[in-house]
Amino acid sequence: MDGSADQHLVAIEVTVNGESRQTTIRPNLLLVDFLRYELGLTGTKEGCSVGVCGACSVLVDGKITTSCLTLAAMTDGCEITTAEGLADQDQLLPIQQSFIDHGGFQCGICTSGQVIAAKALLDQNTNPTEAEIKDWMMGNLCRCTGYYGIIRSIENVAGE
Amino acid sequence: MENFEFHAPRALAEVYALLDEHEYDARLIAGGTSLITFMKQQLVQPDHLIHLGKIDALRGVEIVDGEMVVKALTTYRELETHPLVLEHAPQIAEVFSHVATMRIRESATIGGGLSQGDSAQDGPGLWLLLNARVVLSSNNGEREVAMNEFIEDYFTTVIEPNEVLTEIRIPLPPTHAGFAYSKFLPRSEDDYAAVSVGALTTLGTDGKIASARLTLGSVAAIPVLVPAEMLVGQPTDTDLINAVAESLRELVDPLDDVRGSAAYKTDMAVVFARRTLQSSLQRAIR
Repeated sequence: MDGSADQHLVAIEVTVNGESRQTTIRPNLLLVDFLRYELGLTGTKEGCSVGVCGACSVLVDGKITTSCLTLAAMTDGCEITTAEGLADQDQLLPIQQSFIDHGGFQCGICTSGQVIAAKALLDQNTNPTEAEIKDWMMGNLCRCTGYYGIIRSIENVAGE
Repeated sequence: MENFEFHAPRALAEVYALLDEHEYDARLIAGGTSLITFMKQQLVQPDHLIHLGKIDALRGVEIVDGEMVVKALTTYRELETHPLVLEHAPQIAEVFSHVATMRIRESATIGGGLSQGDSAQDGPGLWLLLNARVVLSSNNGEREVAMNEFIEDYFTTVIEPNEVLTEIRIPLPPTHAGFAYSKFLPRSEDDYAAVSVGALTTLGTDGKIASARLTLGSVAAIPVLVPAEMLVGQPTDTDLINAVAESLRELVDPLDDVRGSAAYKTDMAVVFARRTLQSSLQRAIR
């Protein structure tokens, strides 16, 4: 990388988990790295780095988004919600509690993304069928649970 | 990923000016789901990245003169759920509801996907099947390119460095037409297809085949239109369906890759073409 390109910076203003942030970043900074390394929000994980595994899922203006395939600069003016922003202080969302109650995770590496994806689903469809849950959650891979715990966790808050 | 200068214009005129200034050193970005993976692999290393996300003129779906106009920033998810699409061209929603995963469909855009010039994506084959036209705009005005002329080679389109893909125009399929689209997915549901096939057919009042169109994706550098005129005037159970499917062997040139050998993909393309044609005829209304 030559020196001049190294100096390119871009100013962005984003709201992350309800808190407004104005900052200057390198344009090639990925959203996942902005969240983890600039803001210290390490709940968002990077798994495959090519948009397949869903571990890096966050909400951008309410839409489920692949933060490893999104530049932070592209989210200027947007509202971003990460796993850390779901609970109200110590009060977990019902979907978060349901993952605990119904064995929706084991090792936890995919869990932030799973819960974000489930939140996005329930925001659009408060009472999804099992087929709709499977179709929606297809983009979030888990290597431990065998998925039924995740589906159960969502089914148990569907319709609430 | 190399660094670059980032531009986020709010009007198309600014985009045209940036493209005129930076030409081959600039790339446009919309959803980013495809381009970022290319940039991570350093297959694409622009000096200037022009983000289109703030240009509201590039959003929306309309019906104009019997055609569906889909603006470039329309996401796959929007196509899947848009009331106008569901009413006038539900075939499009059917296809896009099975592209990649929900998370990708929420970001990936029609213009971005098509600009990649990748016949393994679902858009190019579908747009070819529906005889769509691509609108390319620049400081010099706009031009229309027929879908069968838009992709020239792997990841190569006719878009000039000063042009923006602003919309696609899709003739509405007749309401009585039979449509079928199928993908051979040997790895996973959200993968690129090893073979994708689209068929659009109509029947005459006599129940004979009145028109037939067949397209293939993932099996050549560009999406492939398979001539199917020999079916016109034939009954729906004609053996000529097999002949049309077999004829595609001469038209395809798939790659050997993790989804199968070229020979296997060719055989599967024949099978999927036959079945997809038959399905479309079953769904056509006399």
